[in-house]
Amino acid sequence: MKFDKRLETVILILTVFFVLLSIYTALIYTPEVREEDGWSAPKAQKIFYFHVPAAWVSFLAFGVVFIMSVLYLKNSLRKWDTIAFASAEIGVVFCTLAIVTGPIWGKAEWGVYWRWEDTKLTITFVLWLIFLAYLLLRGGVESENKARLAAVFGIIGFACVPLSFISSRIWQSMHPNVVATSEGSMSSETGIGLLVGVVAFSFLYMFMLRKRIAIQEMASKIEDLKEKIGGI
Amino acid sequence: MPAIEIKNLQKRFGRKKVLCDLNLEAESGEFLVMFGPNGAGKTTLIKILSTLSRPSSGNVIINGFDIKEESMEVRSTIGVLSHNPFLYDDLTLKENLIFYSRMYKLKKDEKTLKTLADEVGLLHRMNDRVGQFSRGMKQRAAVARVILHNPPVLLLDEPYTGLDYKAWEMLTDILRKFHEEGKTIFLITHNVELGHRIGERLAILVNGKVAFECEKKNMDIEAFKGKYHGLMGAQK
Amino acid sequence: MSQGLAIAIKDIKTEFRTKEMVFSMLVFSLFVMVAFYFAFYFYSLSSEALEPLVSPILWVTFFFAGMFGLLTSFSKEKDRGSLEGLMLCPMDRSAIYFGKVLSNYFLILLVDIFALIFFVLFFSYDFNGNLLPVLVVVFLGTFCFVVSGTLISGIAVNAQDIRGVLIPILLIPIILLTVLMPSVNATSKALEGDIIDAIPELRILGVFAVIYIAIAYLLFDFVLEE
Repeated sequence: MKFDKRLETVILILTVFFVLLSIYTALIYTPEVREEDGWSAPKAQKIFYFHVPAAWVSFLAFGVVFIMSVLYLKNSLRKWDTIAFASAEIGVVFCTLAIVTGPIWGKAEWGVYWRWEDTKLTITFVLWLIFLAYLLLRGGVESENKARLAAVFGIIGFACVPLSFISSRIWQSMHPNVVATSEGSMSSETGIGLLVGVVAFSFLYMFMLRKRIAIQEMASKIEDLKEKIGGI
Repeated sequence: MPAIEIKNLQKRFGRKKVLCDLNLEAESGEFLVMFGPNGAGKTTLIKILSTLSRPSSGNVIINGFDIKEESMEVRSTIGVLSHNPFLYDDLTLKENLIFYSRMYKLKKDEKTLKTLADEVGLLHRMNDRVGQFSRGMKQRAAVARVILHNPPVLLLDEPYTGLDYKAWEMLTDILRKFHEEGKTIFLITHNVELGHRIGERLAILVNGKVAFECEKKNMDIEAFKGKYHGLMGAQK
Repeated sequence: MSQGLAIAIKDIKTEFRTKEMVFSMLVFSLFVMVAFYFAFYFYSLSSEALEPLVSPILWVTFFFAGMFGLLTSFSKEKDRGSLEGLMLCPMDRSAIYFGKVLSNYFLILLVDIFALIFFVLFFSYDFNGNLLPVLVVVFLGTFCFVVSGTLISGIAVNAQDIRGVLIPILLIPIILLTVLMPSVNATSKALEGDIIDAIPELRILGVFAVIYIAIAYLLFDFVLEE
């Protein structure tokens, strides 16, 4: 118990540190891209130090949902389901951030909010839809079946993703001239900036996940107590 | 060898414990009747025994087969009859029986199906759609479905619900006959009088546990009724 | 496997006695065609302007009509209680899935064919001899739709109150990139008369059909368990 508390403090400190650091690296440390390199909105490009980590964390979170779902189906322990649910919720939040920040930059750079040809953006969007559906499924099914069915759907949903990437490759090769690449040439400063952002967001994810699980556990404890005092 | 052997069976639905540490045995050829108030976990128990639901912990052996490891074998040794006949209204009785015999991978010729229908008194309705049957006839048709693969163990979950007197008597006769043939019968009901009349051994399920167990010959109906009503108060 | 086939035959037989599902799917696909017809009425589309719209119109109709079919395929069994009867039979639970896939495939294909006919009638469209390649795509795309949809339908049937909305909500995001897009693309290419061009898309459909079947084979036990 004591170890858990300490771990949480450590994660909190690391989260705060890296988030502050990432703000610094993103806004001050990393160099601005130059218009000569073909960027039409150099300032807006800074949003990438926010956008990429958010997308990364959402993929991480959905990956965790996938793994926890497999574990849950294997031995149906409640804790796996709790983690899967918490991770899905946080994943949807970060995924929302990613698909909101993408178009903000897109408008500045391309002049349009959304380019469906950008397969990364599109797949992230579909992933967002899938896990929104996942949360709706959890809301719509009674408690006995909820965990099991959600686990099955979580596995289906996540299995679609890498495959969607593979299939989108083929369209890309079909339309090579309309594909938008979202990354320019990367300098080492840019790399560091992205890395710091990813680390910061990952710690933030870990912190939020632990909190969300704690809330969930507390809620089920309350239910247990309610049952004990006779309120059925 | 006992036909049904339940050891420390537990079933939780999320937080709720429906069955806790249930232990029960039925000898081969025995007619065991289990009573219990609503919410005691009777249907859950039948669902676990018939491999429809997975136990949270504990072991169940039916006819020597483990329900978790050998569910296929278990399914082919049991016949399950509930208040729902599990038949297709839009198919005729004959088509229903043919369909289920395919499901059990049995080769049934016209004659065996006819004897089967005759056994439940529905020979003359073989080619009528089950949807046109009365409740009692449906239940008799369901009996034909249950004994299609000649299972040595019968699990019955409130099969009497909604039956009229005639169908009631008929079902009781059929159950008696199966008992004489040496089939193990596990009947679940909340009708004390009926259960006491046809059963051999009696058990009462309260709060997911076997609260009482006795041989019928050791307890007359009045004493048993008193016991049952006493225990019913304990159900949460 | 023989049990799966028996389930499919039973499903199709009962369906043709009641005609509930096929009839509502047919009427629905007719209505969608009518809706499209009037939606484009203003532009009084020439056959050239219609060309890029053909495959989207067809597939949107196929999918929405098909979803009607998926809706009842498990819920009918569940509500009548006969699903329990099937689950009591000594066979792998995936046999139920495969049986449902076969019957759904048969019925939805039937509706697809009628929808094609409705389309030709309403938009007086001429396939110019490209009908055969289009049918190949329709057969494969519908198969991929049915294998994924039957799995989702099995999941959604457990949500008593909202299963009607849950099937589209769960199914559409899953099939967007894996079934809908390749099917539409392949059909467009087939309409241009070059089925060879559509092979990458057909390959995707094939791969996804295999993947969905594999997932269903692995996980369908958990879907039906109580």
